[in-house]
Amino acid sequence: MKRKFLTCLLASLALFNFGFEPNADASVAGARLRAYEIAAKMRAAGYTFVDGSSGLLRKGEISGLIKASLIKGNTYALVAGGCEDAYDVDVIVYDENGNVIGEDSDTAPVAVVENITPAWTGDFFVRVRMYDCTSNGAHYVLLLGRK
Amino acid sequence: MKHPRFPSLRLAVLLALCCAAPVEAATGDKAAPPLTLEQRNDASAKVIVPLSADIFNALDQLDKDVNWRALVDYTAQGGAREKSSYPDNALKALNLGVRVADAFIAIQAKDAAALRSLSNTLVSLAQPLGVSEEIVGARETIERNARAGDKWPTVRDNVVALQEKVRTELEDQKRADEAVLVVVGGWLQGLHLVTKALSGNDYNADAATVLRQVSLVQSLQTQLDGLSAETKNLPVIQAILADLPEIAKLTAVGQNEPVSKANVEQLYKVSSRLAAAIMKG
Repeated sequence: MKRKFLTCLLASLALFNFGFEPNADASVAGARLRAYEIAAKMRAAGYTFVDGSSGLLRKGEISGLIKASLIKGNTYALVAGGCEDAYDVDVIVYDENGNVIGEDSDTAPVAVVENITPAWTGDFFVRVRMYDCTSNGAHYVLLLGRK
Repeated sequence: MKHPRFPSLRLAVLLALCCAAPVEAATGDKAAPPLTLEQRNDASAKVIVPLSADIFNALDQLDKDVNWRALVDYTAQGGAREKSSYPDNALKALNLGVRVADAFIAIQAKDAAALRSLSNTLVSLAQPLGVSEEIVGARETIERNARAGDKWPTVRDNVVALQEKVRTELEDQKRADEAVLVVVGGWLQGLHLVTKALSGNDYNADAATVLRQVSLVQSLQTQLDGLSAETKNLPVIQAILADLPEIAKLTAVGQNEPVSKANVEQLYKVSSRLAAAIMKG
């Protein structure tokens, strides 16, 4: 009887997940607003920001790889803002060899990695992690700043 | 004897686990592991193309003594600064990218007059692409800050923001070809002007490290390959596509190694030929 109940419960969960499509109510605009609020404060330090990427992630999901060609001599910053449904957004930056060179994994809906000074001109990689958000998922916007 | 309920239980558990898993789930531990070679070679990665302003700024930061004034004069040769009449939107988009790169040179040289002239050309080029409102709106702010004489970093911010606005507006209007060509035109003119600045006796090994490329050229080639057939068959696009493999080869150096003087000279030759083809139309 107990096993039958468990079977039904798990099957229901499976069916629920089959139909699950992330459909966050909050918008990219909310995520952009949060990201640009931080970016505006960083302008005083000389950074100029442009949109890098945006998307929708479920809780615990990590974005696809974002590749940026960074130029030696410049100083870069990355800001990721989550929308109203995001509780904890992280940014991870890797060099061309795949090594982690910067990470913001604080518990906050906005993540910042700044003062990236590439030792050489080349490909750098960025990923955004939606560590915690509502069950519907949440949007993020990633900004790339340079000075 | 097998229990008859076991297969359905196992199937249910498997389905629940598989369907709940995201594309790539984070582990409980927040420390990120390094990327594998396979991950780094992911062809589906979104690519952020550097702005031409980034490469000019890097030269300044590396203490390369660039004669920006001479480059402003160079970009004005043959009436290139004012020319805005082109037979198709592809050429207009390419030239829009080129003139934005020229505007960054004018900013580096703190030349308000050149910037004003370029902004007029930008408006003319943008009108048929449906993005002139963005430029007209930003032009007044840019010119006012340029006239102030001590707000050049703000002017640079204004032009970066304008460039982004034009690109996103083109994408929003489903003008995908033109959005790609504005980026390609700007990148090519950046390459052209930096190699001009580093040619001959002005070669500087440290500064030549900024020309290194790993996968950017390949990414631009992929974007150009994805243009509509009508655009892709234009002679100027075919010329760019034909030269990109050589540019990739000339800029492929090791980490922190400079592009050699001979390769800088050849890059200048190739990029100036392409820039001339774009501007001539």
